[in-house]
Order: sequence, then C-alpha cells, then structure tokens
Amino acid sequence: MGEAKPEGDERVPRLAADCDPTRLQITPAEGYLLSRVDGSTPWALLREIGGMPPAEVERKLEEWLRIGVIEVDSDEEEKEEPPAVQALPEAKVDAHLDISVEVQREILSFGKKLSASYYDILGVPRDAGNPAIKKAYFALSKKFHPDRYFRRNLGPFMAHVETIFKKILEAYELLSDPTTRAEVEKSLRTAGSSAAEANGGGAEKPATDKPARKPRRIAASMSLLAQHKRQLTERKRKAKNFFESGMAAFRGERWLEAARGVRLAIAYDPRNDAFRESFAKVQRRAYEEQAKALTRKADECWDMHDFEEAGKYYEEALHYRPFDAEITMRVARIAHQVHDDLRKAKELAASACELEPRNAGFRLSLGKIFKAAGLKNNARRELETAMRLDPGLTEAKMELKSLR
Amino acid sequence: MSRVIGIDLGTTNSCVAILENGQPSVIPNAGGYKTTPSMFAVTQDGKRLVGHLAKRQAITNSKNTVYAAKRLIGRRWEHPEVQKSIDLCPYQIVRGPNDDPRIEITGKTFTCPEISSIILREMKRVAEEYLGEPVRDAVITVPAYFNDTQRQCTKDAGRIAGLEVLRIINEPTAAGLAYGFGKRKEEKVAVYDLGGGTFDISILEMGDGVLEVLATAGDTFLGGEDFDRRIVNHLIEKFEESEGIDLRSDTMALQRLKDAAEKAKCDLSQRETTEINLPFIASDANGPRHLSVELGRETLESLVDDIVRGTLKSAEQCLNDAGLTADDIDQVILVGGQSRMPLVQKTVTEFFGKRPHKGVNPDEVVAIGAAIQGEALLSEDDSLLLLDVTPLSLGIATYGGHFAKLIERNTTVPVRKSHIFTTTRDNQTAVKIRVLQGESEHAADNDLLGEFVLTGIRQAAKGDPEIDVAFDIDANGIVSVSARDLQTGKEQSITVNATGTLSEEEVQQIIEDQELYEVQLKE
Repeated sequence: MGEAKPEGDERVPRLAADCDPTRLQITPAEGYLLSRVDGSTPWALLREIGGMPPAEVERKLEEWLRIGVIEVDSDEEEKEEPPAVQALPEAKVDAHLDISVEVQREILSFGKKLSASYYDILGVPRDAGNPAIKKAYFALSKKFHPDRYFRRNLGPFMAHVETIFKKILEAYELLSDPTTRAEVEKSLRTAGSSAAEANGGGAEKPATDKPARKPRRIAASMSLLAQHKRQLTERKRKAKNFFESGMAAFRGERWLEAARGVRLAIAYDPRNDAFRESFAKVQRRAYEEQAKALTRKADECWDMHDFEEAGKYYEEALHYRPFDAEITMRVARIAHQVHDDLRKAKELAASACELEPRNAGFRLSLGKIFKAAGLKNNARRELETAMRLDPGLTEAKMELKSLR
Repeated sequence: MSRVIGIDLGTTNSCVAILENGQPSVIPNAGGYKTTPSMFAVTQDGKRLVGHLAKRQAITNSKNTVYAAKRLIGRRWEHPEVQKSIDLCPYQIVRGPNDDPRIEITGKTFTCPEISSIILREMKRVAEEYLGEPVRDAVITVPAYFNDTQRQCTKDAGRIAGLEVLRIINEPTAAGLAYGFGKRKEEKVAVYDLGGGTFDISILEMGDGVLEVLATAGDTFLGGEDFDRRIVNHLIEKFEESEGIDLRSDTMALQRLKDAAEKAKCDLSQRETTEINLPFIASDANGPRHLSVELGRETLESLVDDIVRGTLKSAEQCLNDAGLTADDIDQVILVGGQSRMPLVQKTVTEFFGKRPHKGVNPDEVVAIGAAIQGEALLSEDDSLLLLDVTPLSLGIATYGGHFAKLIERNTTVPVRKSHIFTTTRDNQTAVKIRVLQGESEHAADNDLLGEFVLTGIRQAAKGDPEIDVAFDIDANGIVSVSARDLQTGKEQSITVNATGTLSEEEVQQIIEDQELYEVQLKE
C-alpha cells in the first residue's frame, strides 16, 4: 500500500458532473474544503489547504469520492491500457504454416514477454552499455524482423512478429539514448521491482485474473503521466522566463539578445503561438538592426578607404538583407577592385542589376567587371544599357570608347 | 525460387544486377555495356528506341529524345525542378490532367511513370536475355530524398514494366548493402552518393549481418548535371566572346555542348587538360563557325568548387543526425559517376580524414545492393537483414497550423509511435486528424496523406480531454493512423494509401498500351 499513496496524491478531484453541492448536508468547514475542489488542485495540495487537519481532509475526500460527490480525473483511470501493448490475435502452433513449429513457439513465448521491462525484452542487464544493447537489438532483429518472413505464410504469426519487432525497436531506441534511458530507469524505480515481478508471474496466471495486473499498470502509467506533466510545467516556466527576458531585451533595443531569448522560449514551449508570433517580429527587427549596424560600420570603412574591411562588413550585412541591391553591388565592386575575384564580382553585380534593372550606375559597374574579365561583348551590352538608361553618364561613354 | 533482379534506375544511366551462386554480378546489355543510358526516343518514322540507341541519335533528334525523366517523376507541375527542366530540356514538357508534368513527343503524350517503365522494361529485358528465363521480381532503388509520391510513381513504373516490385530502397543504402555483403565486421560506413541529378549521403552501421541506417541527408537539386551545366555556360560565354554568337537558344547546339561538356568532365578525371572541338556549331553571314576550347582541370575545378563544397554541408548534418563525428566513420564509400572527379575525392578525403574505399565500382554498386536486398528478402536464411528507415517525417497538423511529428525521418520500420493530444476549445466534441508527411514545421508546407474525424469526445474544458494518436508503419511502408479518446474509449483509424500521380485506371490503361508496343521494344 506504501506504493499507492504518491499516486493518490497526484489525483486531481473535481465536483461530480451530476452533483449539486447546494443540496448537500455539510458543515461550513466541509463546504470550504469542497470549494477548493476545482478540478485543478491535486489531492496532496488539498490536504494542506483544505482548512482542516490533513487526516480529516483525507477521510472526507475519500468519503465524497465513494458516494460520488466528487470524482477524480477519470482520464488517469482510463489509462490502465497502456497504448504501447497491442492486443495480439489468437495464434496456435500450426504445422501447415511456412515456418517451423519451433520458430512458432519462440514467437509465442517472446510475445508473452512484451509487458516486461525494456531490459528484459532485449535480454540485457540493467548496467549494459550501448554496444551490448545494439548487439542484442541486432540479434533479436534477425529473428523477429518481418522481412525475415517475406512472402511466407505465417498466418496469425505475422501480426505477432510485427508487434514483437516494434517493441524490440522501442526498447532499443529508449535504452540507447541516455535521456530516455534515464526516464526508463526512473519509472522502473517508481514502479518498483516488486511490481515487475508480479507482472512476470502474472503471465502464467489465467487471463481472467485481472486484479493482479491492474494496479501496477495504473501505477506505472500514472507516475509516467505525472512525471510528464511536471516536466511540461517546468518547461513552460522556463519558456516564460526566456520569453520575458527576450521581450525586456527587445524593449531595451538589444535586438539579437531579444531574438535569442524568444528562440529559446519556443524551444522550450513549441506550442505557444504567442511566442512564435513575437519571434517573427523580433527576428525581423533584429536582422534589420544588425544589417543597419553592419552597413554603418562598412560605410565608415568605405569612407576611410579601408575597402577590405568594408567588404567584410558589407558581406555580413548582405546575410541579413539578401535582397538589398545597393549592398550587393558594393560587395561586387569590392570583389572586383580589391580582391580581383571577377567570378564573384560578376555574379553579385548581375544579381544587383536583376534587383534594380533600371539603375544605370549598376550597369556601368557590371560592364566594367565584364570588361575586366575579358568578356567584351557582354561589357558592351551592359555599357550600352547604362547609356540608354542615363545618357549623361560620361564614364560609361568613356568605357565604351576604350572598348573599341 | 524465382530469380530477383536489382535495378538502379538512374537519372542518366541505369544498371541491373543479380546474385549468381551467391555472388553479385552486373548484367551487361547486348552491346556489352554494364550501364544503359536512361534515355528514350521516338524516331521520325515512329520507331521507339531505348538506351544506347536512343542516346546515339539524340543530337539529330533532340526534340523527341527524353532524358533525365527521373527529375520529373512524381513531382507537381509547379515544382521548381519541373520549371527548371522546362527551360533546359529540348523535349516538350506539358501539364497533365493530375497537375503532373508529362512529356509530349511526336504528338503523343507520355506520363513520367510511363517513361521510367520503358527504361525498366529494357533493364528487365537485358536480364531476361542474359538469364534465358523470364524475370518478375525486382528491387528498385531511388534517391534517399524521394518522397512518398515519387516512390509510388517508381513502383507504378515497375508495375507497368511487368515487374513485381518487392521493395523500393534508397540508393545509398543499397551501396552500403553491397559493401557490407559477406562482411561480419562491425563498422560505421558513410556512403557519399553524387550522381547525375541528386546528392545523397547516408551513415550506416553494420555488424553480424545486420545493416542499420543511422541517418540520411542530401540535396535533390545537386548532381553531376550541374557540373555539366557550369561547363556548358563557360563554353557559351567563351564562344559568345570570340564569335559574338549566343548559342543559348539553339537546341541542337545545346545538346552538342552538353555531350561535349560531359565528355570533357570525364576526361579531366584522368588528364590535366582536354580539348573541346565542335566544328560547325553555328553559322552567320560570315559562314560557319567552329568551337574549339582548351579546358584545364584547374579551370573545371574553379567552375564547380562551390558545388563540391556544398555537399559537405549535408555531410555535416548527416553526421550530426547520427550523433557521430567524422572520426567515428570507419569506411567511406563513393557512389555515383560524379564521385570519380579528383576534386570530389580530395574534398571527401579531407572531410573524413581518410581515403574512400576503393573496392566498389560507383556505377554498379547500387544495382548490386538492390539485388542483394531482393535475395535477402526471398531467401530463408538469416545471413543479411536490412533495417530500413522512413524517408520523411510523419505527424499530424495541430492548432495554429503547426506540424507535430510523431515519427521522425530515418526511423527504423516497422514501427509504432503514439502521443497524447488534446482539444483547443471548451466543450469541443470532435477533432480532425490530418495526417501529414514532410519536414516543415508549418503544416501547410507538408504533404497531406489523409484525414479523418474523431467524434464523441466528452464535453470538457479545453486541454482536458486526452486523445491518443498512434502511427503504425509496417515493413512495406504502409502507414495506418488511429486516434482514441482515452476517456470515452472511442476510436477512429485510417490506412494511408500512398498515391502516385496516376490513378489505378490510368496505370491499367498504360499497361495495355505498352503491350501493343511490346513487339517493337524487343527489336
């Protein structure tokens, strides 16, 4: 019974749907306790805040639960069927199938093991390392992977083989990842080894003997659910903290920090739409600001004629504003004039011209780059376009002349 | 036991293999070649040509010669790859009634599975001629990043070609199978597959005759043809420069340039420089013009360096997904013709810090792996087992247009995964389960595989009901999804049928049509 208490504490009682509390014959103290039963306060907390001695609360709640004034969140009771273990079709050893009787027996006996612990399923000790776990998984796969029996008539045994393999895979996946393995360990410790033994013994008992198995199932699934809920709350709390510090940074105009905060918040609570909406906003702003700052630095360098340094900043800025024609062209010019990287210059200048097709200055630059690359015809085409766009562009005229 | 063949249905070349007396071997075609161009053509007088015959006449009949149809199969008309092909291919691509790209030559419209089926039928014929007996069972390979529709279309193509497709497996996985065949050692292997149209990288772990796929990554937009295209562009620029003639709109010249580029590229894997001579490539008022360009290995490398470096990004991601570093990899296998390029080998060697394995032929290894998997499925011994994975993530659409993944891509199959979901409105009594496949976190960007409604949920505050959604994938990749209200016990489920771009009637119709041409194909 010592095991049962913590699970009882996790229960969340609420007023029964068909109960009208105004018709109850209760004392004001009991009334106060009943008013605390709101469908979200767990049993353990009610004991503390119920306004009467804890033992009294316990007794009262149990009584109300029995007579149907309150009910516990029935979802947790329904969880007695863990979804992981599927019902298998009846299968009897049959000599007419495409697999030997021995293999059929092996499948049947392994099928009985599926509600055992993950360690028992793989047949490895609790302290097994990853190589041993993998070895066991490979060896069992060779026996129970459905592909082993491809196109063979296994009758009802095929469903068994599939279910067995899925369980083996589940065990391998959970035990080979340290995080999930820690959870398995934890749930094994909470469920208690005695329950596991009871279950192992239960396999030999007739199927009608349900009570022997039921408690453990509820216990295991409830503690897992509680654990899950605890983790969820913890994650949500962390997410909120990150989000708040992110928004504070946003108000303080520390854009990158803001984006980082909100991104972390989403990582911890991916289902929160408000976070996502803010993220788009914050990130856009952060990128803009980042591009602005970088361009400013680059402009300064440019003015100081430190083109190499300017190029680095412009290129970085381009990362945040990929469709900025002016920056693209500047990077192209620097690639051309400082680094003599004509291929890059050509590509960037061409894309700048694509972004702003009617910019005569861009055409002029592209033409000069083509000229430097020895592509005279292309150069002529661009320079002529530049002239057409801006007939007063004397530099283009001179470049054209020098081409001829 | 009937014989099973493995077919590598490539973008540019295809290959067929078989296991003979336990030894894998590639079957040469009638011309003695171990690979057959994935090309199909209809001549002016209506004759149908496949493989080398189709390739040989491609220059003079470029409008009626289909190549690289694999880039189109199973895609939607709007897909950028389709739009790119429309610009680049000399043959006519038209929009089909199911919004699928179709190919129109000599006035007849072919669906993409149909074109692929013609290549597959040819490979089947090559095998049958060699074995002297009919062949029915086959395993066909596809790039790791093919989605469900593309895989189903490939399967349909197999069916049209008269094949029973036992499995569709990933090309890099097949290469790993070929490498691991007969080995007992425990090893972690990286397969770097740079083919004509796609780049895939997979990390596999093997031991005791079991092969597990740890991770896969890749780029469907990157392959040897991009190398060719860079060379072609280089040649066009050079020619425009010296002769003042733009060859971009001349389909015949483009086809010649493409062939020459491919040949030059292969030459440069052996030699330091090569010469490209294309006499009479164009003409103007001053008479005929000839293209003559000397191309050095260094120039080629500078033209494609960024493409090769781009593959390392996928390699990095793949290692990450597998939870490994480059040092953990025991063997690197190079697959795909493009991996012969010295720059590719050098880049891969530097990245992994070890020389790639030399023992496999990059053109043949995939077909061999497919044959090995076919044999492993049909044989009764347990000498080899492939633990294959799902290519794409599966999940359901959730509130706010998000995508909740239940089964991550690269998960071993068969598998069952479940998760608990809840309602988003007070007193909500029904939920719609929309089953999606893809990698985007936005539901709308993923493929909808099917949907159903679970009703009769207990009236409660939002977030209170608990709905257990379970995904099951069987060994053949068939997905079924169920949703169960844990409080009321109500349950609904569907089996998701993979659909290609063709309906069942269309497939049957094509099979009938194909039989009419059977005689011609056997010429």
